[in-house]
Amino acid sequence: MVCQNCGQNPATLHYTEIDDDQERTEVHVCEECAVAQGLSTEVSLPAMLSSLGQAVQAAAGADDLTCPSCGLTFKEFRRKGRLGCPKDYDAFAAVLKPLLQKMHGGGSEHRGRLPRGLAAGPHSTADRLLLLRRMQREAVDAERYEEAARLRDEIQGIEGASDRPAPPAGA
Amino acid sequence: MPFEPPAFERLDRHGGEWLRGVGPEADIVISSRVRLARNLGGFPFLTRASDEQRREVIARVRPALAGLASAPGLLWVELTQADEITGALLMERHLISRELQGGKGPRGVAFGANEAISVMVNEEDHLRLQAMRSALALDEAWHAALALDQELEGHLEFAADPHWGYLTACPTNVGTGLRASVMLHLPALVQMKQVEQLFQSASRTGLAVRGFFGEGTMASGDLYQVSNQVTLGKSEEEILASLKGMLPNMLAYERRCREELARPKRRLRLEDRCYRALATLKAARILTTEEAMQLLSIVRLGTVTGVLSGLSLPRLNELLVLLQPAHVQALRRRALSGEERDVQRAQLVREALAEVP
Repeated sequence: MVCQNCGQNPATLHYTEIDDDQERTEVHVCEECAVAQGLSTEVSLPAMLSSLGQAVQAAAGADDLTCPSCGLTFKEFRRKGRLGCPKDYDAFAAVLKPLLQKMHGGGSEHRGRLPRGLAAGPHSTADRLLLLRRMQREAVDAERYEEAARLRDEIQGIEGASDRPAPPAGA
Repeated sequence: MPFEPPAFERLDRHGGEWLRGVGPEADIVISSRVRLARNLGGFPFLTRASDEQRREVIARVRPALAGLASAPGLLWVELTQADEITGALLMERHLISRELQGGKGPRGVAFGANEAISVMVNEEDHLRLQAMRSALALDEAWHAALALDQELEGHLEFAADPHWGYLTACPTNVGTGLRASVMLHLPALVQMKQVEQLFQSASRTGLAVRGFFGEGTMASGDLYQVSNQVTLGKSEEEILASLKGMLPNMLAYERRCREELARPKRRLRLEDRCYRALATLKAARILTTEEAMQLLSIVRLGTVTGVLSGLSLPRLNELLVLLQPAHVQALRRRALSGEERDVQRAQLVREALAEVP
């Protein structure tokens, strides 16, 4: 459905107005027009990303930033609006920070809870696992099964060594 | 095609916890919900995960979900193995999102028998923990979600970072991963054309307003979900406080409009609308979901303003879900075409309202 206001973008906000004479009017507008009319309260991520596009391109080479853990480029993130792995937050930190600040009303530093034991930091282990899982997946895709099996064993070895309490049996 | 109700077959007969229709501000606030987005450390987010890795996530999460003190006896439904009606039934009950229902690859949901807790696995994030309560009970929902989160923490390693907080696939959820929301019934605001004002004031305070089934959905039956937008840079308590702080104004606004509609100069018009809506529901032979929800909204307005008697909020809430497409099919135990559904829906509603004068 196309926006009834601009007739161009897809309508994403829909509602029904009913006046005193029971006359019902369905309203379908796009994000942009809704914002212009003060209707929408959604901060649309794609809209924000595209408005940031220019600024990002000004920061030379931002689009080519690549996460060493999952291989996602910043350009791909801008297109899809979804990150590829937890390490992207570090890999794209310089360009993500202003974006997050805008998105979260100025907030750019976490002030809520954290999982217990995070400070002790099993970080490097998780990072290593992330990389091994990517390598394993690529080996499977390329039908290098021996390598994939070796990587699987390595992953299991690391996980076996972690002292995380075992979950209760059964599901 | 006959539809065999799954193990949780009684789901289609009654509403869950969030539809009980009792609690503070139940005349406007249908339900309260808190959800936490969590991902497992050492795994890619789902856009970059293979089916094998998705299965591995499920294999980790399911044992961790068994035997929890904060959420005992969770039922597990694997969406890849569920038929279409079951998936839609879970979505209509808000146990899963549209995204999980229509998603691809290994994914599922675990939920408690009273439907106060649900854990979606492999939706946009590896885990989405949800706690739902009837009426205005954000603190209770938050404490339930927190207890579940803390207990799961003992079994699963969540991706987090001291600077960014909990790491999520979409940066709109990073930090606390917390989305607190209330479902509001705002028929008077809609009728008095004041909903835009509400949108504006909500947006100024960093809140989002969505339709009945969440993001990008129509506001059917004058039902709106109001939730926080900001998840980073504020503590969980601050986020909850900002939503709770705005609610009294919104509720007062709707109540003022209700009073206005019930004033002598408008009263007859309100009565006319309410009696006509009830009469249509009691007599119609064909009812679309949209029309039924709209009529039910007016009947609800009539009930809370004292124009109509003989119907309770719990019964009205229950009807709201039972008239949804998958529920009509589940109650009739077979897949129905759109037209058949409208006929069956009308019959179900007539039966449900037979005793109402």
